[in-house]
Amino acid sequence: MNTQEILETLNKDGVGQGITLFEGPKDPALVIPADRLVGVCEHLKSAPSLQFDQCILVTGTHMTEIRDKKTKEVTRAEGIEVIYHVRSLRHRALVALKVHLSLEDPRVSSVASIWPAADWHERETYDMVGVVFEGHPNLKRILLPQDWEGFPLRKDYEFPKEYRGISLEVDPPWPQQ
Amino acid sequence: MERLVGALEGLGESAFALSLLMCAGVVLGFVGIWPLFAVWLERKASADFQSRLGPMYVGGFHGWLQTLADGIKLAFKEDLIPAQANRVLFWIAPAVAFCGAFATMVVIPIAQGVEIVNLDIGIFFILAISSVGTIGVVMAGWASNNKWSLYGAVREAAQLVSYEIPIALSLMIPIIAVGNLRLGHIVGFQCAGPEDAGFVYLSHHGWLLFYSPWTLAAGLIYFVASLAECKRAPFDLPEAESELVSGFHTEYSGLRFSFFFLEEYVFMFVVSIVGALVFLGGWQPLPFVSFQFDNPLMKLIGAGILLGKAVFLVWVQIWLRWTLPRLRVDQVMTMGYKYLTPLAMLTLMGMALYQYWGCRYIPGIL
Amino acid sequence: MAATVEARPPDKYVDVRTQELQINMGPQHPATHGVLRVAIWADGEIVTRAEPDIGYLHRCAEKIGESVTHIQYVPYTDRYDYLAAMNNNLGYCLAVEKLAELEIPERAEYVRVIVSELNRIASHLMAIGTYGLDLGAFTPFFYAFREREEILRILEWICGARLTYNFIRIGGVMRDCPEGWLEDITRFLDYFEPRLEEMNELLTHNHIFVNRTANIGVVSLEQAVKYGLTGPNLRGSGMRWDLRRDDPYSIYDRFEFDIPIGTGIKGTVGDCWDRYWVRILEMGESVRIIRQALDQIPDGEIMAKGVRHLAFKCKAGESYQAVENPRGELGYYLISEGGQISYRSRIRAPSFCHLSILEEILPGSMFGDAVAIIGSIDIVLGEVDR
Repeated sequence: MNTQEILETLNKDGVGQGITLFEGPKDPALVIPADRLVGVCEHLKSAPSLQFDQCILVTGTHMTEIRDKKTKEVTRAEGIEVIYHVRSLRHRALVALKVHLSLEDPRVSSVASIWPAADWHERETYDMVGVVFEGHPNLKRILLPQDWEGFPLRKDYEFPKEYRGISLEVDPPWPQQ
Repeated sequence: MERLVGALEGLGESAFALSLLMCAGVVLGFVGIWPLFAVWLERKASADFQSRLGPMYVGGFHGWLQTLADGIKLAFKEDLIPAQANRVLFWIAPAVAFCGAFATMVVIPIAQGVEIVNLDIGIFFILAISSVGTIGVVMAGWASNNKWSLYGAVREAAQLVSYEIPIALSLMIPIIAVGNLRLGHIVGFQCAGPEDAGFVYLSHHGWLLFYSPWTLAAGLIYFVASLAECKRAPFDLPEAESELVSGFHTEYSGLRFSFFFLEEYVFMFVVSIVGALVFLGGWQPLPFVSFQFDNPLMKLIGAGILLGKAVFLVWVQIWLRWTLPRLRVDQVMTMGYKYLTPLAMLTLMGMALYQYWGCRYIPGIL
Repeated sequence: MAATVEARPPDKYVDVRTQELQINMGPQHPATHGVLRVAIWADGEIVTRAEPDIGYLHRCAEKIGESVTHIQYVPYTDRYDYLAAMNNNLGYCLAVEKLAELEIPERAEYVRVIVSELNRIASHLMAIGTYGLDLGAFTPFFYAFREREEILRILEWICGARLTYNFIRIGGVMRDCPEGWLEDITRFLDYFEPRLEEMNELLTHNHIFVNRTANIGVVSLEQAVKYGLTGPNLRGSGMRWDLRRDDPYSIYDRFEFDIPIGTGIKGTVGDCWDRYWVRILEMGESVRIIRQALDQIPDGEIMAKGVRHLAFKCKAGESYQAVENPRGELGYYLISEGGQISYRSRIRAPSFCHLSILEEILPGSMFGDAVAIIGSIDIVLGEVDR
């Protein structure tokens, strides 16, 4: 079952509104409107012909703006993309779901209630990229300290000079030989 | 030794005090040297089980001085006391634990008639005094102000209370046969022979382990329970290092830590030598054939045989430790209360009936 | 002795309640296999609530992935699951090769399979040895390490490193097999197979070991799928799922091997013993795969043509590549905009997902069981925190 077929099944089941197929150079993905994510995910999990029961990975990516070199048109808008990889063990299929969010207020509903495995992945995505997952049971930083400022995997992140009085300068403060 | 004490007693109080000091010195010396050997034995035995070499360098021959080197290292380590610890309890706990193991040595006869005090309640004394060590362990766990230590201490207390019963019951079983609590008498019973016996003779009863099926069972119960008593694997829950870090001695360092270490090994020796005396015929080398151990040379040989048996039992403890996984805490309790205690009680009853009927209907067996 | 353990009623231990004690297991604790901290709320010896806390070994893996070139990143992948570095190399290289559309020479593929399967055996030996250690059995640990030492020697022979190999490179492998290396592996396999039996006698069927692990930490199949468990942990719960068979990568579709699953021989399906037993059986399957690979390995090149290592560029695109790591599904999700550096390199670490199930299965178990459960899911903290 490839991504195209999954989209066809979704359309047939009547939940395919607004879902488009992203055909990159390599892996395809389904682009889902942020407000319909939970509904689609629930359907993906429960429909007998789909049964995507295992959440493999949740990735957050800060997409910078890309303009065409000649025409100066925006070919990729700036924003945050959250990519869910879910797998159907029964049908041996893997599908990537994409959600585009704005950089200023990246908010999307949590799917941790559908796939508990997404819980920690969403926390990590929040930790690193700053996506707020609404309805998440315990949305706090997971790898970084709780009082860390900023989201390190955003492209505009600036590494702090110090943390709690510890110098984080790359150049050592002692004289160089 | 007893004669020596007796002779000095006549010389007045100061000489008596001197003799006591001497005896204490002998015991302390032994208690100091024995762990050096036992730890080395444990290291070499475990290395052997695990296809390693173990210590090889210090002292030349198979690293025989390694333990001494480690002891010196421990003695020079910084003695840390946690800021929030109860200093007084923390300070005396190792000493209390050590005393428990140390004091039991007083009543142990090392050869025929060679003992410091010939107490008429010998075994009872050992059982009572050895429990003092537990108080030290509980004190240490409580005083450390560390939750892991506390867990270790509580486990130790629970474990000891559970296993004190089967160990006491299993020691009562040979006593039913002997009718005396003196350790010397128990060994004497095992090598009792005809009046006109020569150097080698057939003893009436033989080793108590083989005296009756009940004593055999008692011997096994005693061994298992004694493993739990001296916190050896598979019953090493109070210090279960993968669960409780180090259990009750997590916060101890340097010399104070080494006291717990000494206590463990001395206590291993004590339970082993008591087992050897009570069940394995003491200084008699063979189960049913006895020798006369009345002259000094023979006493020396007898002491060697007794020590050999004790070391063998210690080795079995080491062997078990490096072979078996650890039990879980509820399994330890189950083992104590559901199996060992009822078994020991049954055995005790069986032994009592055996003795009663045996005496009446099979004359000559006693 | 075929010891089996009856399932115990879950409420057997909670009839007497005492004051709840909060206790920190870790970050420095002998049984947490690294710097994992589990905050435990305990009622006496029984864990009532557990909360894993991670991040003590965070080394900014994904951030580094966005700042070094693809070629430079391969040695970093060694450091995540440092017990299965070959498999980590393989996963990353496959992901990059998928983006760069590289054809890998046959011989290199076979060498890759041989080293990753050897590494899998080494990793499982470590898991089993330390599991014994967690339960207080010291000796099996040394036996496992004796065997692992042989594997490390073989791997050291071909790539010069014992733990962080950096051997599988983008486009192939670092170097061809040295003379006598393949024969030495055959010798090792002949030596190793009987040793597995020895391990079974010493630990697997030990009565105390069975009593400590059977019916403990039961993960039902439903839970396992829900929490994203993969690898031996998912198979231990009774799911016949292995990426080497179900989503074949490299040349795994050419080999014949079984997928062992937990069947609840000693207790319930999905208990600690099942997970442990799956690892034991998997080592045997790895031996089978290596033997087949040794028979089939062709001569030829070991590096793809046209890989310019100093200026290696990927095509633009995004790809997710998963491999069956000894611990589970290791995935690399790479976004490339063309050029030498990934735009985003996301790592799906199996141990990270496995840890999240602790919150679910630790409550209700005893302290000693908690140690047994953490040991049985076989985590590597380098991979959890990345």
